[in-house]
Amino acid sequence: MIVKVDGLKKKYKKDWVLKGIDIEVEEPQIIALVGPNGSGKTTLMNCMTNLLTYDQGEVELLGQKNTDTKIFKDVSYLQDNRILYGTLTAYDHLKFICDVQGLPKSKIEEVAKRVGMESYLKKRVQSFSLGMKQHLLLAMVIINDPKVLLMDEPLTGLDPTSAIDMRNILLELREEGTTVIVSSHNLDEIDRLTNKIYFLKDGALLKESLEQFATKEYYLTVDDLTKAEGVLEEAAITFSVYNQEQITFEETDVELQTVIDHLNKQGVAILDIENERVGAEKRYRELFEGDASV
Amino acid sequence: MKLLVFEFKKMFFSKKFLVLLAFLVALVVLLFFRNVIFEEYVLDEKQSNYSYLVEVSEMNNRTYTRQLEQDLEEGTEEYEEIEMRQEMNLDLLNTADELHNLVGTDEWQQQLNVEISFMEQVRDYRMAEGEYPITEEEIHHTLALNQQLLAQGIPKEIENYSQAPPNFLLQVVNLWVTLGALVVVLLLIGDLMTNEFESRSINLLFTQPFNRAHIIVSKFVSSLIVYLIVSVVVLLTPLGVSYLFGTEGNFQYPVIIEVDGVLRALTAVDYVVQAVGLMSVMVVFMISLYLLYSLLFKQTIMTLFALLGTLLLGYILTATFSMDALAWFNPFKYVLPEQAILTQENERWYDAIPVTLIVSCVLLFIASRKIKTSKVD
Repeated sequence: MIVKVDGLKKKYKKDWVLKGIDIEVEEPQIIALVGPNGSGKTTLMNCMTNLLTYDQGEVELLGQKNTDTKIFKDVSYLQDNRILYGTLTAYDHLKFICDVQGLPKSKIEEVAKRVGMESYLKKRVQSFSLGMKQHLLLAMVIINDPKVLLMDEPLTGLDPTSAIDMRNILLELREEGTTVIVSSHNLDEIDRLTNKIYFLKDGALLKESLEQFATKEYYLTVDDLTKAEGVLEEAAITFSVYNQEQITFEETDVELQTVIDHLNKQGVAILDIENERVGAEKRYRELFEGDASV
Repeated sequence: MKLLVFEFKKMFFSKKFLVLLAFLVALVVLLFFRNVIFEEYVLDEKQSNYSYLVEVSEMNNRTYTRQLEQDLEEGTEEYEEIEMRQEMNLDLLNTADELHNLVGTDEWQQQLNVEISFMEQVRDYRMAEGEYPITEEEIHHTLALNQQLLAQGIPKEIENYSQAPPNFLLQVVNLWVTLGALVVVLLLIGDLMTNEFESRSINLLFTQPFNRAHIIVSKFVSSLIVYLIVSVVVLLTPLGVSYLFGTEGNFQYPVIIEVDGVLRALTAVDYVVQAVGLMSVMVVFMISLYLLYSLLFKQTIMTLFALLGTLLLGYILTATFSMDALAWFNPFKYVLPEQAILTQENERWYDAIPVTLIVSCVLLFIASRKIKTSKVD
C-alpha cells in the first residue's frame, strides 16, 4: 500500500475538523484534494506527515508508520514558502536536502534545470518573488525522486507558464511512478492533472472519480447563429447560446462530430471551435453551492 | 554534521549576527578612545581626590588643635590620645600631599611606595579611632595590589581607563562577563528555535529523514560556535586596538582576589581565562535551558521571559542565601561569573563547573526527547 489513512480524526478546540478520513492508494497516481478554505486540506496533509497531532486513526506511507522520520527518504511534502530561510540561497536549501538525503551534489544542477531556476540558484531567497519561491519548493521536494509527493497549494503565485511547467513535471512524476496528492484551488489545473478528486467537505472526504464530470465544453462560432440554433433544436441536441455569439454544449451530451455533421448538412459554416474542460469545477459547484467560502 | 553546517550557515549569514558583531567591535573601539580622551580628566580626578584628602586632614588637624587648646586638659589620657591622632593625621596630610604631587609623574615606583605608606597610615589612624574617608576594603585591596606591582616591577594602571593591552582587555572582559555576554547570547539565540515554530520553517526540518534529536544537537553546537566566534572577536578587538594605539603593558598584571578572607593575586591572563571560561560554562547552560523552553513554549517572548525569569531567580537565590556548602550543586553560580572569581569564601571558582555542565547535558537530553514528539500546532 502506497498511502493508507485509516479513520483519521482531528479535533480543534471543540470542533472536529477531520471526521474519520480514509484514504487508500495502491497504485501510483495523482489525487487532487479539493475543498473550500478551512475545509481541512492542509490539516489533513500535516497530519499525514506527522506535523500535527490527531485524535484518532493511523497513517502509513509506503508501508511505514508516519512517526518514523525515515519515510521522508521517499516521501516529500511541498508546503507553503514560510519554510524557506530568507538569508540562505536556493543552492543552500537544495544542498541541505541533498546532504540529509545522501544524494550527490550533481542532483542540484539537475533539478534546477528541470524546474527552470538555474539563473537564481545562487541568489538569496529573501530576494525571490512568490513564483521563484514556488519553483524552489518544487525543486526541494522532487530532488530525491520521491515515491509519494504531498503538495499543498503548489500553484500559488505561479504565472501561467510556470503553472504549465509544474503540471508537466507532475505528469512526468506520475509516469515515473510517483504518487502525488495535491491540494489546489485551481480547478482548471486540477482537471488537467487528474480525474481522481477527493473533495473535503465539513471534515469528511468525498472520493470521486470524475470521469463522468471530466467533460469538455465546446464553443462553436458559426456564420449563421439563428439557423444553427434551429438545426440543433430540430436534431434534439442539448446546447445553449454563449454570449449571443457561440453555440456551446458539453461532450457528455453530444459528440462534437455529431454536431458538426448536423450543421454541415444544413449548410451552416463552422468558423471556429474552442473547448474547455469543466469537470472539477462543475462538480465543485454542485457540492459546495451556497458555501460562503467557495 | 550536515545539519550542523546548515544551522551554522543560518546563524552566521543572518543580518542580526553581522550587525551585532559590527556593533560590538565599534563599542570596544569607542571604549578605548573614551579611555584615551578621558586620560587627562582621570588624572585630574585623582589629584582632586588627593586634594580632598589633604583638606580632610587639614580639617581634622584644626579640630584636634581646637580640642587640645580649648576642651581638654593637658596630661590627661584623652589629651594624649588626641595628640597622638593629630600626629598621625599630620603624617597622613603630608603623605596625601606627596601623593598629590606625584600624580602624572613617571615616578611610578615612588608612587606605589608612597601609596603603600599612605594606606598603612590610614589603617593605623583608623585603628587609633580616627575617621578617614577610605574603607578597610579599599586599604587592603590597594596594599595588596601595590605590593604585587612592586614585587613584579609593573607600573600601576588606572582601573577602567587604561590604554595598555592587558588592562584594557581586563576592562572589556569585565564588561563582557558582567551581563554583556548574557545579553549578546540572548540576542543571538533568542529566536533560534522559537522562530522556526513561529514561521513554520521547522516543518522543513521535521519532514527530513533524520532523527529529530539532531536538530537540538546541531542548534546547540552552532549556537556555541557562534558564541565562541563573538567571544574571540570581543577579546581580540581590545588587544588589537590597544596594541595599535595604546601604551605598553604586562600580562602578569595582578588582579586582586579574596580567597577565604585572604587577598591574593591572579595574573591578568589567568583572570581572563577563568572569567571567559566560567562565562562559557554559563552560556552552555543558558543555551540548553533556552532550547528546552523553546520546545515547551514555541513562542519567542514567552521563552525569553521564562529563561530570564529562571536565571534571575537562580541569581537572587544564590546571592541571598549563603550556599557555600552547596556551591557544588548550584548551576546558577555563574550568572555573574566575576563574583565567583573575585570572592571565594569557603568555595572555589571552579566548584560549580561540573554541576552546570551536567545540568546542561540533562536539559539537552530532555529537549532531544521532547522534540521527537513535538508538533507544530
